[in-house]
Amino acid sequence: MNNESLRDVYVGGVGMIKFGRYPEENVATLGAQAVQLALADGGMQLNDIEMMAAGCLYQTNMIGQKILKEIGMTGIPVYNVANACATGSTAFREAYFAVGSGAYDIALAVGVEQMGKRGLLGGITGDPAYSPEGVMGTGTMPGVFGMAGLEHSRQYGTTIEQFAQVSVKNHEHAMANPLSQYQVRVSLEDVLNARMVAYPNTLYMCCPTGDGAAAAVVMSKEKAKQFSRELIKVAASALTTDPYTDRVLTFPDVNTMTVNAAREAYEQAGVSPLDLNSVELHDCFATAEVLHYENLQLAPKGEAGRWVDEKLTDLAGPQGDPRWTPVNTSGGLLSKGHPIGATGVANICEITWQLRGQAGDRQVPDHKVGMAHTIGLGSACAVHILTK
Amino acid sequence: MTSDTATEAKPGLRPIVDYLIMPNENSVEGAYLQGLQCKACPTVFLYAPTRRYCAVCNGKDEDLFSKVRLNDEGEVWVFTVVHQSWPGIPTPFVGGIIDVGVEGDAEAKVAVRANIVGVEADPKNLHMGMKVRGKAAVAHKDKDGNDVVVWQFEPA
Repeated sequence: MNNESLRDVYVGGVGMIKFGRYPEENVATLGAQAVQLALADGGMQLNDIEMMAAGCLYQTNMIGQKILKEIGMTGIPVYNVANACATGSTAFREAYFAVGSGAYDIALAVGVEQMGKRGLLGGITGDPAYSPEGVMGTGTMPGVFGMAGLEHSRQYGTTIEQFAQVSVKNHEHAMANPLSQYQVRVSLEDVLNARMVAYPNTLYMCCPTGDGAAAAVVMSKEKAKQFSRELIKVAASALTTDPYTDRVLTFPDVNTMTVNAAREAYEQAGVSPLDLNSVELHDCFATAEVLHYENLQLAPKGEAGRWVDEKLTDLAGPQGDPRWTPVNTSGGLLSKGHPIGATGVANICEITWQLRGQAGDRQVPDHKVGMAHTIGLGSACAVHILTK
Repeated sequence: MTSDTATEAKPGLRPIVDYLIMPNENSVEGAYLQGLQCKACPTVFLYAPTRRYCAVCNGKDEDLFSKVRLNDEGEVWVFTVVHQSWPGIPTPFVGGIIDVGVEGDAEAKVAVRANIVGVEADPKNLHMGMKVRGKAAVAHKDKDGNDVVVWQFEPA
């Protein structure tokens, strides 16, 4: 995609609720809270919002409108989007286009999900007697991403310990994020000895289930100045699906669409991987994060395992090393949580806070460029780059 | 399957997927996997009665596909050992992605998702690149008493 014909778009306000379990709430009441946080952060009122894109995967029935019925029925156009685990990112991208096109000056993206304890995902539809799950392999997410990790091991010798170390790192990062669903420090032994879900992913190498909501307001440069916002620019917005690759119709390809989206995003933003100060990437499983180091060009092909060993994506890693790029400072999906529709927007929140220097004890010094990435199988991959 | 056909037909063998072909009504003997090979490009898809077009070359000609028989022999591309699944699904089991060739075409292959049986469900018993052989087997009964037949692989 060529974004040169679009006008510049800026993030004007962000907010998210602490991810967790809220059985007494519903998607509208969760989403409403996130919107209020984003509006307050941006110093604006609901009446300032001209368009809304709402992302929710499992309850797709007019979620955006239901949120407005909680906070204010202003009559604005609402788009409801569902795009697997890239649902929130897709909503954000719709708001970006709404402003980028010049049609609106201020737009709102909200992502929300109430998953309860729904996990595993994938595998069973229709008559269970004719579901291939468990009798003709597996389509559950832990299984698919377990196999994707082993595919990397097969090609490059990546070890189980290297995958597991990602979980240790992201849980450690989450200790400094009060909005993370879990704030639990885990050791490598804890991760390796945890209950096996689908080899090689143990329980701590799988993202939790839960509920959450996040929102972001985007606006034109003029409006951003009017609201006295620090200029956080959406420098790139890329969205891809699977091109045909070997096995993809049988075994989801979790790599190629990310490779393609990242390449396009770097081109749009005019930045290189070395320019990134932090990345929020889709660590739905520990194995996935390792693969994405290479897919997002943080590490050369085959060297993601070394990136783990040298702590090049760890907040506590070698800060002076030009290759050092902290990944998932928020705690990532593994610890912060992954309420599907909310995830992509929450990633935008984290990068925005990093760019503004508001990330507290998890702040990356001198943060100027950040990337947010989500993928959903089936397939959709979104990469956004934000700059100041 | 509709309830009409279920009441008309005697309980018997039912393949779990469309691409598992069972020439014998009363036995899994002779069962095999079937593919659809695009005559234009020549990608092999797992057989589906509703596939009309090619997802690779965008082919849409009439008579675009040849039905091909997939080889029983295959090679494990990747695997996992699943310890947690949906309620009612016995664990642990080995799930794999197996590359299989096409009868009469040395170049073509297609990936099949299946269980790997005949080994204890432990990663130490498996390796990527492992040679395996496929076979049909009865997995369980459906609500009408039919035997549901699956395709699975065991070490060759």
